[in-house]
Amino acid sequence: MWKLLKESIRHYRKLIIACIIVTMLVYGATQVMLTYYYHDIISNQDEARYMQCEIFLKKPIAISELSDVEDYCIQNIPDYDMSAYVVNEVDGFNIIAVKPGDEAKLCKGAEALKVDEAIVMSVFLPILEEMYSGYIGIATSNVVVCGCTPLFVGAIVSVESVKSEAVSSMVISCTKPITYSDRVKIKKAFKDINVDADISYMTEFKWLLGNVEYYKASVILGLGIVIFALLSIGILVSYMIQKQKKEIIVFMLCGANIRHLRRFYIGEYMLMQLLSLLFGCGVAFIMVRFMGIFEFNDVYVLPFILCIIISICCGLMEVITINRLLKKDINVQWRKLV
Amino acid sequence: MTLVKMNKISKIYNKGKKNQFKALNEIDFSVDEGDMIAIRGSSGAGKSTLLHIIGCMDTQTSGHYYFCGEYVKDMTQQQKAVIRNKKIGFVLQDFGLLEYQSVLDAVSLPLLFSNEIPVSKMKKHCLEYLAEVGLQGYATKTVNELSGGEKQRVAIARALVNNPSLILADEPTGALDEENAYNVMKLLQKLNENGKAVVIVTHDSDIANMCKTQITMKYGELKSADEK
Repeated sequence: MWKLLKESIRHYRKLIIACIIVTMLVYGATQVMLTYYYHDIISNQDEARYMQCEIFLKKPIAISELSDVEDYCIQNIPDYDMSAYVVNEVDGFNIIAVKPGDEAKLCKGAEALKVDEAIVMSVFLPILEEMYSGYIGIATSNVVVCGCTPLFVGAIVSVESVKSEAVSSMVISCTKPITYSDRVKIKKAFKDINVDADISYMTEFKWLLGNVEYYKASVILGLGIVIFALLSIGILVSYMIQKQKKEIIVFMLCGANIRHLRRFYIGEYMLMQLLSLLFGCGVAFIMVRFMGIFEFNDVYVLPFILCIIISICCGLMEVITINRLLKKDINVQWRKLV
Repeated sequence: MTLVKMNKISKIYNKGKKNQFKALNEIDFSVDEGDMIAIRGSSGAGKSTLLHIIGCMDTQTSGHYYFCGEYVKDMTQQQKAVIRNKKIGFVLQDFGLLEYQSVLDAVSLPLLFSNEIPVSKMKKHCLEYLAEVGLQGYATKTVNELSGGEKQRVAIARALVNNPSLILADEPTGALDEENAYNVMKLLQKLNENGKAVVIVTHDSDIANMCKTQITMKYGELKSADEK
């Protein structure tokens, strides 16, 4: 097996290199496109590029208890601000902060919309603070209210009356991406203070731009991966059918049986797929980690996983194709080949 | 010992179709150890078809074929592959070499599929056969750097590397000039003297005359057999 594999690497080094380059180009291009796409939209909101995690408390806690939680988190999770809020979506607007117990109204132009049970402890997006300084001003307690659309065209929420005394969800936000070890810390913090919560991690993009943009980006990258997969299949099938015929004849004259050919070609193909995938992922990872082209977060994890899954599926499909081709060549068309 | 024994072998292409063609018509043929047989005939006479059936690359439509006493039609593809690997060496008109390979790799190809010689000894083994065909010092060259005559000698070395008992040569001198053709034939003669059975398909009467036995084929039938 090793002999054949070594032989195949040596024979097809050009093809392997070509595959790696194609993978790199496609993967890199889609990633760059993705990054550009996002940066184009959020270029004016750089200050607001937070990573956040949203915490849904299974059992609401009193406002008075919240400060304990907040203190604990501040002590144990440095670099993070914690805010508590309830998100209510009204008429396409996200109400992201309201005064605790107040009844808030969302104003879109002259029209005021009523928001139920909105609670606010602090304002957590500096850009909003800046934009609505006259209304929000302070980032601590007993304040205010603001609303935003996905594109920050602006909305103003006013405060009318107090309604609720409990906190049911909160946000931890930070100016740096929340890493895996941070997640462990956050989880531990809530466990330590005996607060039962579901924690969901949001990307800055999801938070700022909304789901629509996120999925659009996924579609773009998905498309890139599909193109890569099609290219890969195309190269493989044309190579196998058109160019390998003489090789198959020669191998068979030398005593290769179908098992040898399967091992040879399938092994070679699997190796190429694996190399391409590793290389593609590796290059993307280096771009992320060391070149600072974009930040590594959930937006990119999903395409990575998608890429791997699609590649494995393509690999399996192509292995079946190769197997069938070899069988056909040997059992039916062998004489024609000779 | 009889290596090849064929009884009433027929081969019909596209059987039952409008373009049905009978390439071999009830041929009786045998090859014994030490034979050197030339099969002559015009194009379409069935020479190559016969060679392919002998080489277990094709199967007859009817008749019985025994290789070293074993009935070939009952064999699996794997068993036929083993015969092609260990018992038969092929030499083709277009050499049947992969241009990108080195001479050493080309010659060692049958060894890769036989698993009988460890990798560490393969090189030495192949170099011995390259020396036998007069290609010492060519091991690291790639096939596309060689002349036609040299390529054919590489093909012969490859055919010999698993020490087969039968060499099948399909127009081995067809792509060579006179001098190289003569050299290749001398090499095949030498192999025959060393005990290998050789079956050569050729158009060339001079080449055929260098063999011990000549068989002429016409319209899928054996017409004559002249022994020296």
